[in-house]
Amino acid sequence: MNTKSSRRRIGKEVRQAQAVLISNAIESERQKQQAKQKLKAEEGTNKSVIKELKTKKISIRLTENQYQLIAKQCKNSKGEQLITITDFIRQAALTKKNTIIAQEAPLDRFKLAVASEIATGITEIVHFIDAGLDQRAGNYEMNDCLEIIDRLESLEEIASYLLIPTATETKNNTKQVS
Amino acid sequence: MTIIRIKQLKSGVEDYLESGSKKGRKQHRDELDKRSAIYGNLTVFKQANQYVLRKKDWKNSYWHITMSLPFKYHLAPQGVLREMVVEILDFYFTGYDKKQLAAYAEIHYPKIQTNEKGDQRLPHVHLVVSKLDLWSAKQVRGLLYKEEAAEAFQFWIDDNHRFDSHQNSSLTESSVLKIMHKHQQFHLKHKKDDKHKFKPNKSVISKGLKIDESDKQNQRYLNELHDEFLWYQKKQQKIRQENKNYSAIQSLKMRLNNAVACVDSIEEIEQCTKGIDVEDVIEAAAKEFMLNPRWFCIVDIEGKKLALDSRSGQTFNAFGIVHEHLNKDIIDTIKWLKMINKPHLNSFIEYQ
Repeated sequence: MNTKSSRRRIGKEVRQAQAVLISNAIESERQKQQAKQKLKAEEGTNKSVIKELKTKKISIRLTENQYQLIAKQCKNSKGEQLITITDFIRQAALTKKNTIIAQEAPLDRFKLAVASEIATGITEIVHFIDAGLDQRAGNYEMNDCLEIIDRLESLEEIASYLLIPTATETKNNTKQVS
Repeated sequence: MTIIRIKQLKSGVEDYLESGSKKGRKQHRDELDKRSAIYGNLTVFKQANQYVLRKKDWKNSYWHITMSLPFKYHLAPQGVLREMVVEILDFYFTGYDKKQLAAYAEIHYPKIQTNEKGDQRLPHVHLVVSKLDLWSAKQVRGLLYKEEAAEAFQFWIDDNHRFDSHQNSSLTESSVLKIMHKHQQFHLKHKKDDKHKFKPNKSVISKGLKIDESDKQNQRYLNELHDEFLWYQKKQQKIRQENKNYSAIQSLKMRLNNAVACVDSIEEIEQCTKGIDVEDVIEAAAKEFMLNPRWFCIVDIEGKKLALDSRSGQTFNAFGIVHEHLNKDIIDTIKWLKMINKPHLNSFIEYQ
């Protein structure tokens, strides 16, 4: 028969066992978390260490025809360079893809070159006026200069349209290689 | 001696130019310096830089070249600094047409006069050059850094603008030319001249212009283009707003506006120079802009009280100190002088 004291003892033992179980569970969970954190930290350090450098060099010789063939593959139908020959060879050797992933945006670059040429030209005009002002201190028509500035600004404004990337550029960026 | 420093970096210069943020500095660029663009267009440089970051796997995407002159040349005209920028481009990017390069330069005129170490801050030029060769999409190859060549170029550029150069240098005018020529020739010898081979194809543009407008499909296409154009216009306005002040035009505009303001405000300028004590101005500038008063001594020239700058030997009146040293434009100079000396000036104006 279970007396009051024996019931109390059993209860106490059960509670002790439960407490041990709980503390074990907490401890194992803590260890798991620690292990996870350690793993994460190790991965982090590995990632920063692993950054591979391109130290190896491969150079190959081709015939004129072979070279022209590859050079042609790197361009679109309009003759614009889509990818450099080096990048194409690397891409072809390391992947199984038979498409060229365009790395260049020739139209965007063309527009950029035109905008840059306009900016250089404007700088030359500005310098010409500026130098003139230095030489003829006080003896110049300021309103004329301001008029020129206004016109240059409107020119620059129109030229800045060139700097917006074309939406169609990205659509034409891939090409099948036969 | 002109100091030229060259660094190669991946990104972040636009932020630095705009916000002035760097390690250990709290002030914003607008508090620190007055910016004045002297070469190229910042938007063009930004786009070229973005092209490199998006399309190329290069270690660095641009050069950042800083150039500063000794304090005694702190009033050198913008035209001279622009010429020096062009000379740097010509030398360090030998063999390239300037149109091939996306380059941009601006001068920073210090508003706050001393740095954290207590030294005088100097006007300096930031020149940034994208590594993207705009004609070939290849990487721009700058002149290889050699101490001998850098020193020769520094000597040459100082001599060309009649600045004092290395006092103890053994270099001479002819020897620097020889050294520079030697390095440039070496560079050209190892740089293939392929710029024309890769010049962008213009047929892309010209083909797009031959459109038969009577064709229905073409008409629909043109309408779509018109919508696209409006979209571009909106986008362009945003870009324009963001970069409005950062092209070479702005420096000239600023100069001309200053000249106009000078003519229009001649009476007020005279009132300021006559009515405000130069010592009071130096004191106020020391408090607000950390101008170091120990560089100045007060002299009396023909009954006028002027401040003599011991570093340059130049004298300044109250207006000159603010305009030339604190780099404020004409209107701001008048405003600031009125603010620091309001009671005196008011009584002076009433008396007039």
